[in-house]
Amino acid sequence: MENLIEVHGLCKRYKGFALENVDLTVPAGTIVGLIGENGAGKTTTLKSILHVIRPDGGTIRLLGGDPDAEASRSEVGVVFEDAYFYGGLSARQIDRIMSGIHRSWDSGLFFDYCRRFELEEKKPVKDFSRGMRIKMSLATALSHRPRLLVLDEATSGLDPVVRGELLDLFLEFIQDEAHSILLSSHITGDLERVADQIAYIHQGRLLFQRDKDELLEDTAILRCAAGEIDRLPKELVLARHSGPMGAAALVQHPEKVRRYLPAAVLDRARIDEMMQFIAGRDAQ
Amino acid sequence: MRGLIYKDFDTLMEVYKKNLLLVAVLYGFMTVAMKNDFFLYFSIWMMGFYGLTAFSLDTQCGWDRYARTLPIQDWKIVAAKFVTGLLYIGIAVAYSIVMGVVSRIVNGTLAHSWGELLATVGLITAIVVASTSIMYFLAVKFSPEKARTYFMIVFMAIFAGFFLLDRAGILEDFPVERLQTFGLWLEGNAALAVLLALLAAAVVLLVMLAAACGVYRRKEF
Repeated sequence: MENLIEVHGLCKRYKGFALENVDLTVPAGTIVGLIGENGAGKTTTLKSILHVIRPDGGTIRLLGGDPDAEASRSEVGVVFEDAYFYGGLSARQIDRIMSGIHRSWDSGLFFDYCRRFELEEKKPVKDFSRGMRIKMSLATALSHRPRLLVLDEATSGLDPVVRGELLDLFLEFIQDEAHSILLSSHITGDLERVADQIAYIHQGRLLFQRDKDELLEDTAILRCAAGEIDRLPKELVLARHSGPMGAAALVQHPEKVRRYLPAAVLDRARIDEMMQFIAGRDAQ
Repeated sequence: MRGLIYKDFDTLMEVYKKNLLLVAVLYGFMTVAMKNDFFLYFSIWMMGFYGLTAFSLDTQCGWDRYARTLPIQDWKIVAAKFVTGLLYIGIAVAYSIVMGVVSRIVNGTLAHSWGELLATVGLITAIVVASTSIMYFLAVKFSPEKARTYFMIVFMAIFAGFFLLDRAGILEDFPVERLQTFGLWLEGNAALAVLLALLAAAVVLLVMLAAACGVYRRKEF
């Protein structure tokens, strides 16, 4: 399967923060959800992939080429949470501008998206709600028919109805198995709904990139007495914490755990719970 | 690059359109009423500096970061700013010439002063092109706010330098007659002087553009 993004050993160092040896791939026809706490390195990873910053180490291939090659970037659509046109411009002006930037810009498609998203063509972007501004960014990102969408926190701060519409659009975008999306988000529920793979960045390191269904099936939360967790082989316990209500552990291979503790309560682990366990483990 | 120029031009127009209309009417009226071209020349200076706002707005709305993801070469992103600045200066030059002619027709002085108008507009344009090019480079290198500050500091330092030299009596020995000779030469060769000034401004612009492109290539957003 072709990879639209290939990142190997990506490093970027700032004062007080370092992204270290990140390996990430985005295969064609998939949505990869990039998760991580605030300041974990998600945006730094996306910026490196998109040529906004220069990595200190590692290699990046974007649609088979270098990220700084015009040809690679011409097939990418980008939505940043807080980076777009000056708010005084309207959809009509944005169309005129983008048609002078992208050779493959399709004005008809852009205004189709505007109609679909109920965005008035003459209204300045600053008069739109946040949801509408994100839709306008998305219409802009899609109207040169890119093969890859990169979205940084695009669904944050949106109501569930708008989020639902956007998630449907993402699924529609990858239908033909040739397109892909790399989506960073704090809203792990959205990723559980649409992502095919989950990549988790924690403290500047990629902890894992796994098939989402496999990850959810293979991970569970064990609730029991602290002593019982100690009876498990260490490789099954990913993280643990104790509280007034008893102990709990994030475990992998739940079927093996059940063999050691047949009476234990094993709950399905949501992605945000996995993050809380792992972040809590490292905080200790 | 066409799209980038549209973007900067449209953005500045959205910000300044009411202000520009007011200034055009007010400066035009004052020029005719006072029989003085100062406001026309000042409008060229002002429009050159308005272009700097495009840098500030890019930073405010995150366009800097977004632009890097688009399929455009880095130098075109910088060059578009310089071209937009020139377009704005061009609008002010056209306005100054038209209003200058109108003022002279109304006041009955067109026959003997249209040459002076064109020469002064040409010289002011050269000065504005050169100084805004330096400002634009500083805006890319540092930030638009710092560019404005540094530019004002340099201007103040030059004036302060002259003031101090004068106070120290050093300027008393300055060969004033040479300046007068130069002034007379300018009067007699106005067209050549304007041409040379514009050429010098074009050189400054190209050097500053090249330097700004080099700085931009190394920037991260």
